[in-house]
Amino acid sequence: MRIMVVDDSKTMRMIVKRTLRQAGYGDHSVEEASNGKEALEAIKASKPGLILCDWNMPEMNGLELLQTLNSEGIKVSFGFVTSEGTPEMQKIAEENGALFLISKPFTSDTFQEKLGSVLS
Amino acid sequence: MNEQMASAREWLDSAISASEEIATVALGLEGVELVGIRKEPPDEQGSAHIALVGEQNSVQIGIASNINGCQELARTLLGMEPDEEDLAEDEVADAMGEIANILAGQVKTMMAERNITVNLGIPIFINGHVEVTTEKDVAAADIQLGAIPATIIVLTNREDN
Repeated sequence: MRIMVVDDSKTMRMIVKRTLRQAGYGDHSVEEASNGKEALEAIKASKPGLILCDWNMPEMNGLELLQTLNSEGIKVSFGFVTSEGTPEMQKIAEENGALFLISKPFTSDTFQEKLGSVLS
Repeated sequence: MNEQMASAREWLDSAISASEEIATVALGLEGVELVGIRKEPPDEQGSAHIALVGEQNSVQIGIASNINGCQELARTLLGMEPDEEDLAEDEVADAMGEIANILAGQVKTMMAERNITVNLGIPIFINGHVEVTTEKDVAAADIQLGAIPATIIVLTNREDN
């Protein structure tokens, strides 16, 4: 499966990719985008199977990306990987169709738990 | 329920608690040690700051270290080997920004339990001294993240303004 990692921090994109490998998902191809706007164009072009997306980003944030995907009828498994971990944000994520919200900092165990059903 | 205002010291205490998770989970270190509370930000350091803004509270939370400390924090976050080349300045800035981001996110979650709601901004990295004006309250603490010295800096609007 093609996985897209969306985060304005190159450091965090590297950490997400590393954690995917540590969780045993290193066989999946990974592409990157640095904000929601860039991700939207890439999603339409390459049609990934899973988006791992930060929340707070310039240009278009993660929630705006998810809402745009919904409004344009683009169906893709979507999860947040974000520093936003409050119950309020988890509820917003769920209401907008996100499969999960992984709070930073995270471990490979968390990735296995949340991504297992999507990637296996 | 009306949202309450938290003092700079209260925000700092939450950030100090949150730094344990940063140390052990994000950085893979043994833990964090509180070295001491300080009255103002350190001189000439690299620091990453992020704003947390709500109806009643407006805060900047930052994490600072010296040049070597910032490099070490960035390398540790990325899980780099000792023999790998040093990171470039922009890479260090990005990594420090991400540490500040994670710290602020943890603080936001902790404060939400006290019915304090804030929105997170996007981190910035500064090389140099953070000058605190008279309209601001500052609370800061020197910590050790494993063997890496760092300072947590909190700036809020002065309550009597």
